[in-house]
Amino acid sequence: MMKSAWLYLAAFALAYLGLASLAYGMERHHKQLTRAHASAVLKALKRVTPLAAWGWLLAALYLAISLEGAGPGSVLWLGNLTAGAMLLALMLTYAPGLARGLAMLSLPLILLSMVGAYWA
Amino acid sequence: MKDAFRASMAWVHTWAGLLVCWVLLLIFAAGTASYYRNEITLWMQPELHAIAPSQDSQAHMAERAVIALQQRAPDAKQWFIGFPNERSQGLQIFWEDKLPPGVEPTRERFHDVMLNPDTGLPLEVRETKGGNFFYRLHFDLHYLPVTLARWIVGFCAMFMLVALVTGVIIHRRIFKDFFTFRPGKGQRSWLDAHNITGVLALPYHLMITYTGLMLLMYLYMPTPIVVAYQGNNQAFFGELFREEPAPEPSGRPATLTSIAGLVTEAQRIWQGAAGEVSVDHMHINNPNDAAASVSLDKAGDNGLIESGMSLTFDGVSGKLLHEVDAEQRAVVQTATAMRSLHEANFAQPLLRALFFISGLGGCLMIASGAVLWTVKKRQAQAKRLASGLPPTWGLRLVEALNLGAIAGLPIAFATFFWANRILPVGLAARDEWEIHSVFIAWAAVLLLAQWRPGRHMWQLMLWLGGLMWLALPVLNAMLTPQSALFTTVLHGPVAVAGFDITAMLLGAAICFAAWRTGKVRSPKLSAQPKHRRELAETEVA
Repeated sequence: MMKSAWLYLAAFALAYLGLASLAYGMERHHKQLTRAHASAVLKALKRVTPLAAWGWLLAALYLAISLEGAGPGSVLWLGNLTAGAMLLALMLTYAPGLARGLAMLSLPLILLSMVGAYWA
Repeated sequence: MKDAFRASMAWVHTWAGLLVCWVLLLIFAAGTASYYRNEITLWMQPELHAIAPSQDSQAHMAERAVIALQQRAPDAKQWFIGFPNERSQGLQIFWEDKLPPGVEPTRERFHDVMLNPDTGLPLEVRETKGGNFFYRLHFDLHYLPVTLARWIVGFCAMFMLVALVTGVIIHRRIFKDFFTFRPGKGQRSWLDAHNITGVLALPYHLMITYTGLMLLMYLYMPTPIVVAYQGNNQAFFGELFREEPAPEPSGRPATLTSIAGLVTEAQRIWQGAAGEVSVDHMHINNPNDAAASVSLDKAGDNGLIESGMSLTFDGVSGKLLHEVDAEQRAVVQTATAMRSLHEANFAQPLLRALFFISGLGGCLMIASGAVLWTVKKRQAQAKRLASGLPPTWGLRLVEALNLGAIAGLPIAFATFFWANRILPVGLAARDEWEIHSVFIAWAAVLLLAQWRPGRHMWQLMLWLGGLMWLALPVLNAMLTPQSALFTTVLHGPVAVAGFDITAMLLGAAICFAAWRTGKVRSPKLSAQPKHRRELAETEVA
């Protein structure tokens, strides 16, 4: 039970990270997420993240399917995408700092939940 | 060419959406609530809250249910036993009276009693329709003949599907504005809200509308059954679901076999070895008659497809008569997969919550779309309004209907729960009065809205609705102290605590909307003379 709770969290975090990475590559949201800082590194990141995003999203799909089976798993994935995107959109509008923080937090969170699931 | 196409689709989107939006909002809101219909029913039956989930075996429970049924209705046409599950703690018994030939069947012939699964004694529960009210409401509406209501709902759902598809076509910046919400900018903000709630939950919206139509397709497209079965629906469904017709009673009395034994036997067949395989429910046809039969339905596993497995035994000898295993039911499985997807029957709590969130998104999409129409119309009539003339009757009508439907809905739904706690337990037709109070409250808001469809009324009604929801846990704690939030959080049932928390969250969200409605003013407003300002105040920005 504990084990799958960790993995469900990871499935959501992966979906959120994927969506946030997509947003990072979009002009308006890039500004919100970087507080309009412009540096060569951030510019390069802006090109790379949307590509990486598809990897995160696919990983989220894979994890959801391995948790729930093909049918319910793909429904879970779509649900995670919807909830994650709504959360992201709200935060981009009202608290872009939080959106950025959660995106940066989600990678260690995913790793941590993998470890958590392994030990649980 | 492309733009002309888009423009024509925009026309379709606007009018298809506007025509049905108020009924659609009701359908969506009631349907969204139905995801938690068992939890809602439980909240509305505080007498059940103190019962701990039973640890006893289903065979023992079946034994108790049979004793209770023998006492109450030894001559019934059929008995039904519904076992407790994760979402409902009681042991349900249900029976149908045998009617003398020639008597017109009415709903009076059905009887329903909830038992304590550990003692077999009836639970004294207040009369309520509970969550089933919302479930029925979302496709049968209320106060209308069922068939007519389902045609209305189907019509609205078809328009919804049209609005969804045309909505995708006319949305030029579907990916560019994927995450974009810009508040406080009038029409722009309403369009953003409409787009974002529509696009982000689009898979859900398409799925729910499509499967919803599919569920009632035998009603909407009856011709195949009319042609192939001469309109005999029963024969068609009998073949589709491979149901054996219930045997006619022989009239010769006979002793019923051990029902508990059949439960154990069914569990053995399904599992191979006896284990924790559960029976969902069972039917006993013609109890205490030589032609008795008993059928058991296996509870579904956690899959998109319900188990669909059932066993039928001879009710006297206990011999296995008929077995339906999952593989035989490909047709049924296809049909139940649609239903399962629509009703989230397969969903564990997290997934169910995601369905609920998407459903709320649907409500917001419909509501923001309806408001967007009036905001646009007001802009188009800006000159007319600026010269001190009232808005056209069409605009006024839609504004009033929007107010009544959108701000009235939370009030109406909250009234249902208030009535549940406030109406005296002994009141005759108590469950009906709970429902009447919903529509009385709603009618009152609709009338107030027609009388004065302005910003002040929006604010007032939103505050009222929000506070009614916020106060629900308080009301619950005052009138049914054993079900108060601080008790249920610590000792369960979790569902009751979850209801109270959800009610507070919804209430807080509606209060936030009320506060925003009061706060947002267009900057030009203060410069206008007073009588114009009053007119402009009716704009909801």
